[in-house]
Amino acid sequence: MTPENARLHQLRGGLAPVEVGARGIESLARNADCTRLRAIVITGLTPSKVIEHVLGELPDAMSPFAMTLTQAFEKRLLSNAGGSLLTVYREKGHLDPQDAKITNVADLAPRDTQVDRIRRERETRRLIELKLRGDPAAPNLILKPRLTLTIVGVTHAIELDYLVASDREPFYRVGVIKSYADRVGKTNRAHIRTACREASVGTLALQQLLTSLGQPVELAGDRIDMVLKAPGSFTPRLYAAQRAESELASLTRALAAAPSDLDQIEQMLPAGASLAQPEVIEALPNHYCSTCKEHCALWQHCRAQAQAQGNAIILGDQAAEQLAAAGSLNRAMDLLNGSGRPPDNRAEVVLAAELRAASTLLDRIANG
Amino acid sequence: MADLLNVVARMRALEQGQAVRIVSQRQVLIQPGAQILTMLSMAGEDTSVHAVAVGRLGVAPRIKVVADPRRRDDQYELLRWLLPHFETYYAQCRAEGTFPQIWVSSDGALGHLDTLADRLRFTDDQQVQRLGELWTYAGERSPIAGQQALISATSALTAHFATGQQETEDEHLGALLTWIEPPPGRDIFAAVAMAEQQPMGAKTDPRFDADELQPAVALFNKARKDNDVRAQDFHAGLIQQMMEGVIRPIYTATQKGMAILSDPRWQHNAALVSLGEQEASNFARFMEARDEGHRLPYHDSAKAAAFKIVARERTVDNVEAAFVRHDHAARERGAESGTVLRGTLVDRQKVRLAPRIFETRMVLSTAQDSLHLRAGDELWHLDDPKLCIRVTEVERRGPISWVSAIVDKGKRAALQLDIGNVLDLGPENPDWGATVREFAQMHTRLASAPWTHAEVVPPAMPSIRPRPNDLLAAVERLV
Amino acid sequence: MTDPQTLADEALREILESQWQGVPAVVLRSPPGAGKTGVAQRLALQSARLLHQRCMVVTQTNEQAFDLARRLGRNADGFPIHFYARKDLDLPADVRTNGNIRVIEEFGHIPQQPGITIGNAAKWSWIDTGEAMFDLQVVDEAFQLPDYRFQLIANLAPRLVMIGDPGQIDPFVHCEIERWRCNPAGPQVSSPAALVKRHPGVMQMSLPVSRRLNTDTVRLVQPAFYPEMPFEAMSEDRELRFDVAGIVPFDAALDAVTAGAKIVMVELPPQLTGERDEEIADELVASIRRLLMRKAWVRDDGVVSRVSPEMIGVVCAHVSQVNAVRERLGRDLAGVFVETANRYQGIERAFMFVHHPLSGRADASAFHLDAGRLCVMLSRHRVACWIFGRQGIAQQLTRYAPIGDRALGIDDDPEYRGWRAHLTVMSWLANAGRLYPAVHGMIASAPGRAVG
Repeated sequence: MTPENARLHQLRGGLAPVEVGARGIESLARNADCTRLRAIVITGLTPSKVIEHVLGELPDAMSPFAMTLTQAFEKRLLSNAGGSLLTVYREKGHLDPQDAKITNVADLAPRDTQVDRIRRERETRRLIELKLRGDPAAPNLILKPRLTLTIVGVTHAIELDYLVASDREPFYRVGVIKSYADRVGKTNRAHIRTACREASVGTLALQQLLTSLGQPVELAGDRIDMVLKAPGSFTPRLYAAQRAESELASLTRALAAAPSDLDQIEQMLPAGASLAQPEVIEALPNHYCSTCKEHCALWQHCRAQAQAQGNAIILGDQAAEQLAAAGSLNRAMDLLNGSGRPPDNRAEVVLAAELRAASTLLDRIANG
Repeated sequence: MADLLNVVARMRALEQGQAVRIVSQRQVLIQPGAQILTMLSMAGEDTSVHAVAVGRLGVAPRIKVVADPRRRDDQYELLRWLLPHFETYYAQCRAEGTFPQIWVSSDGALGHLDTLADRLRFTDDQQVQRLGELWTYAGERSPIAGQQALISATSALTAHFATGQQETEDEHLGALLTWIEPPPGRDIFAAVAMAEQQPMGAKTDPRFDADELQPAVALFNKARKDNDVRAQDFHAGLIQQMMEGVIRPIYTATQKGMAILSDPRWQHNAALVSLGEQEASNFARFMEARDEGHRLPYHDSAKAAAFKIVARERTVDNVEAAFVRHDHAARERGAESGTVLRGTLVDRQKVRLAPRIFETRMVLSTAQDSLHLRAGDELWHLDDPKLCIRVTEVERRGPISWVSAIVDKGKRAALQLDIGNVLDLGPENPDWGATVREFAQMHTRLASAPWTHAEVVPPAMPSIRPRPNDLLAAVERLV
Repeated sequence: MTDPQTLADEALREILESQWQGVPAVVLRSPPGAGKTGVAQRLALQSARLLHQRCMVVTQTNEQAFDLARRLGRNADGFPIHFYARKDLDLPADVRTNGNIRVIEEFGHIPQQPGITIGNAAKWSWIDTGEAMFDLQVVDEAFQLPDYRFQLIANLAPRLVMIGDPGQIDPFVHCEIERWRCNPAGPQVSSPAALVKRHPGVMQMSLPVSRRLNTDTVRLVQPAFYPEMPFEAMSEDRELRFDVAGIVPFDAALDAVTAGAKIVMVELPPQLTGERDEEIADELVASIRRLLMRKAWVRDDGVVSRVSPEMIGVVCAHVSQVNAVRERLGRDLAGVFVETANRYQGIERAFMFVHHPLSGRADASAFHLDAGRLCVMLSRHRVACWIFGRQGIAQQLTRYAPIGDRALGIDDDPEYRGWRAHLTVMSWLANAGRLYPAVHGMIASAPGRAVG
């Protein structure tokens, strides 16, 4: 075990690591101020794993129906050695007739063993290097590539759905396959956000690879591809070269934030403590917000904590913003009710007056 | 301050451990025969209906479950079962000159119905297609301001109550109802957390799927594959029980939401009268168009989009104008946000401009902080449709604004006002006919499609006029 | 290096030339203060007088129509200009009494011969014909016109020139737009953007020079809000000086302008204040008074004059902030124009005082991050701009970076674009040494070093 892995093992308190993947990393970046989430993911755990193995509760599960459908949709697209996916690209004019080279990395090393995982990583790298050399044998579609992303000195594996590039394009774009229903303007925005962000994690991994190979990161670009599903059918809908600049910037920024190394994570914990202890998890600073429910299994715990602490966020984003001058919900209540100590500053004076005026208005409105 | 009003309401709810009322008048029409439609889809299959419960307020639901909605024949059988129900209901509404109203549990359920409508109206099965068309009325109305055709219980309730939790958490109907009617003697957060365990949207719980439903469905399918009719029936019955266990509470909760809003404690809201009339008129046009065989396209042409967006924009204005006149809460919020000028009449004069030509002027003072008026703005007396003023000057002196205006309409009414009267002035009376007039004009204007919104760009046509050698100088000479 | 005047002339020549070539459409992007309306004026005169065409000019508001009518009404040969307006429109006296301006209320009175007719978009959309009545349509402030409104007037002329500033506040649509959210040429999209999306081959040009903004301001505004549209300042001749010497540090922010810094930020101590910040209003108004009290002089393109309240403007994000400033101005400062950013579009002043939209907030929401709003706020001044805000805005931006929220098939992410613009502005101010602490509470007679 490398020293780094030993430290991670210690931090996890012996819990087996989980491949957090693109989904785990993008969720980490959604709430960059949440040290709790950050510590969990960086050490190779997930909130679901913590729920199950540390807090002893039933973790969130994906419905087997949804899982079956997702797998079936992906399988259909990647079937015929990826021919169906290729057809989708051709029909939209994003790949030319001569762009017919497809490689499925998983075919070479399909097992979920360390040996095979390493083989998939190496094969992915080899294929990418072909493209960088301008080798005409470089595939147009690389299915199930496996990349790595290093954060805070810890290497995470990122297994993507595919990479795509025509022969005339200098480098690959990341593609994600999602069984979300494509309802055009009515498509669930959280789904779009998730898909773009997961793909952007792949782009970051590509950028790191390019850097390690001495190539300009700009080759990876800021565009991703997304395949969704037509409602009620398995008809794929391709959204090629979607701009993901904001998602990439958000991820880059979040991943650069503190704690910036394992030292800092270790320093946050008492001596000898680990993330396998519920009290340690509870003591880690968190940043509960209204979107945590979208991506973090710990949201109910964090909500309960926010409720106990009287954090204004429990009333929503608007309340958190409007009551910020008070600093806490309890203080805001004092200002509203004219109880507790008098306003500390002009901002509290104004807030107190506005809260009371709003309360008077509310009484007038609600009681006719 | 309008934002702070919502925040204070939530603070009060939290303090009291119970949702607080934020209005005194009903904010949504509840049609006498409104249908409650509760549907559960299979996870991942957005256009499936695994179980449906349909009924009305005060009536037990009729429930239908298919063992596996992924089988098209079974799914279509369920949908065909639903059609007569809605066909009859729609026909009845049409005959009565009113409109159909469908209640669902939440915005998630609303989205499910909309997705179904969008999908089903393009199927090749005529009956299922018809059901999709009928539901499309509700789906297409749902984003329109003030619409009364498709109501999500959570949205309707949150228009009347504020809870002590986040807005997104109000989306769970069970949690919301717990805030409105908390169980006595229990911690509200604990009660809400428990309520959240019960699915209230359009999907079953994933763990329920994993532990119970999926195994049952798998066994049903196996029995069907084995041609074992008895086993099929047995497993279908189990699935029926399971799904009823999920769908009945959602249906009951939706009924409960309707019942709470039907309570006589909510005062009459005259703003809803015109909304009901508009809804009926829209419904009549929709059904006529179906009778005439007009399609309901998925995508809009540029021309269709223009008509639709104009209709939506006008509706937003009209709904706001209606509410600010008749809804006490909207009026007060308007005064806070500055969309309503609440001024005290401090001066009123009739000024002679010329022989037999007079101008009535007035000055109002107000301490409103969010007022955003400027010269030229037109304001109407919200309590007297005859009176309209045009602002000529706004001056702020300290915390008071002084608004000078000329009376454009209702001079006699203006002269009867007393100094010291407090007037509420705001947007013009709702003009529902304006959309019709604007549409007529748009038809004229769009009779010939501009090339800018068509496929082909016309070629360049160079001028044959003699071109000055120094074009810039030639043009500058003209300036 | 080509001088700005030459660049401007070349651009104008090219635009004018495009009409001789008879191109069906031109989209002309313009930075703030580039003289868009002057271009519209020249296009209209060329069309009517040299090309012998019937030219219609479309504005977005009556005020813009009046302004254009005034300009055209002053034309060298007394050529009649027609103003198409609704019956009871209250025309300003100078427009009403200008002998060259003929007001028309019925479309049947629009002259058949070559000429120029000005009207606002709403009035044009009620014209009672489906046929083309003109040869050329010039749309001024086109980026403020949503596509569905443009569609109603687009067939009035076979050729068009759309002129506008792409960096300002987008057209506002109240209703739900879910049906068209993924349509880059949807009815809610600004008309030039929709046109280019439908017909990418239409001629696109941009004006390379701002006549309003000075060089120092352009160095900030161009990369922050117009990264794809380089432009320069026309004038180097914008100067402020004081008769009364300044007191350090009390007058540091004011004196920075005399030393060449034309955009400066005054920072108050960090505090979460919500929308209305009394101390910012105090500081801002105190600075205006100080500017006037020190007997300031301004030189603006060769014209030297004493700074008066009418040369000063204040722009805020919220009405309550506008009122907070107005309350403090008093009658002697009634000439200072105070408004929200939305209402400042098209307006300029020599000196601007800006209440930073993110100041005092805990988060950074889409409204406050809007790039167009900040762009309008920072591009109204000709000589100098002082921004007022609480310390900590840069950190606030870092904490609340948007996580990405886009529609399918649409590249633009307005929230992210706004966030990036805000960050660019704050970084630039910090790197250029333009951040000054507020002096609220200090009095002018406090001991300090006099400068100047």
